[in-house]
Amino acid sequence: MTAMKTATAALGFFLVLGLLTIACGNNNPSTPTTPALPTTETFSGTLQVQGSAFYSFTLAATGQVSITLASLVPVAPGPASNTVMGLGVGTPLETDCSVTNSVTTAPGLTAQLVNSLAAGTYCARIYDLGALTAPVDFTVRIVHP
Amino acid sequence: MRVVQCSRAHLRSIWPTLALLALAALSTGCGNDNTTATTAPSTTTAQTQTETLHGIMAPKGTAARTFLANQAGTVTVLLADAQPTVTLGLGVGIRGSTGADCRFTQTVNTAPGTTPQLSVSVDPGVYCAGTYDIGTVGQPGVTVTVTVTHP
Repeated sequence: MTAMKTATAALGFFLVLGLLTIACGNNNPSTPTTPALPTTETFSGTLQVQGSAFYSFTLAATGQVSITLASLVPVAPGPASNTVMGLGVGTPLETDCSVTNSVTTAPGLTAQLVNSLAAGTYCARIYDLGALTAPVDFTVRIVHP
Repeated sequence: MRVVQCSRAHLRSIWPTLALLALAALSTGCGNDNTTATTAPSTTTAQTQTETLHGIMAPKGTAARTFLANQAGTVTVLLADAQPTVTLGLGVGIRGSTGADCRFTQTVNTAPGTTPQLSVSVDPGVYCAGTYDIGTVGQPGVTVTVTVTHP
């Protein structure tokens, strides 16, 4: 009878031991995933009086697209121009860019045009609203997923 | 040599003590495995950084420095020194698509001073600032010091 009690106690002890060992697992949480960094593209060129220019880019995923008319310089290196231009975003259509959203803006270093767009191919377009009297060198920055 | 012999009765008497000791040791070892050190709570404050461009600009030339704004904020640009003292073009902008030249967004013609001659709001990103000759720089050039503060 005493031997049976001892055996039962030993069985109980090893059961508790087993449970404790299982409970002692890895307490570390799963490693957080790092969100993908946005892509920055720079679109530069020379805009003629009454002219326009566009640049195509591809979104790998749905997200926010920020477009900045960053610079207008008539003669580089030289004084910057504050001329107001048209700046738009849309989809490429044959040899042009079909604009779906646009603003009129002077150059700056904060995005003037911000849109949430689905994954796909889009274009940014800059165009003279009639204010240019001579060609200018422009620089547009596009930040997208 | 002394041989210690344990009787069954002796084993039975110390069995509960051994079991309790083993359980206590396991419980102590089964703590939090994370080794994260205790840190003070972080606060989001705008960290302003200062960078200095010190270089020699040739006649009809430019001198520019690239910097990274980690967050949105205000960039200030100061033409702190020019030797010999001349009035220069001072600008801030972004690099063109080739990355070779600094395409200015704002410019001003200025002599060296002690307060920033340019101030502009920016989004997070890479920018450049520097000087360009407006026809005042003679041979062999001018030594310029430009200080940029940015978020």
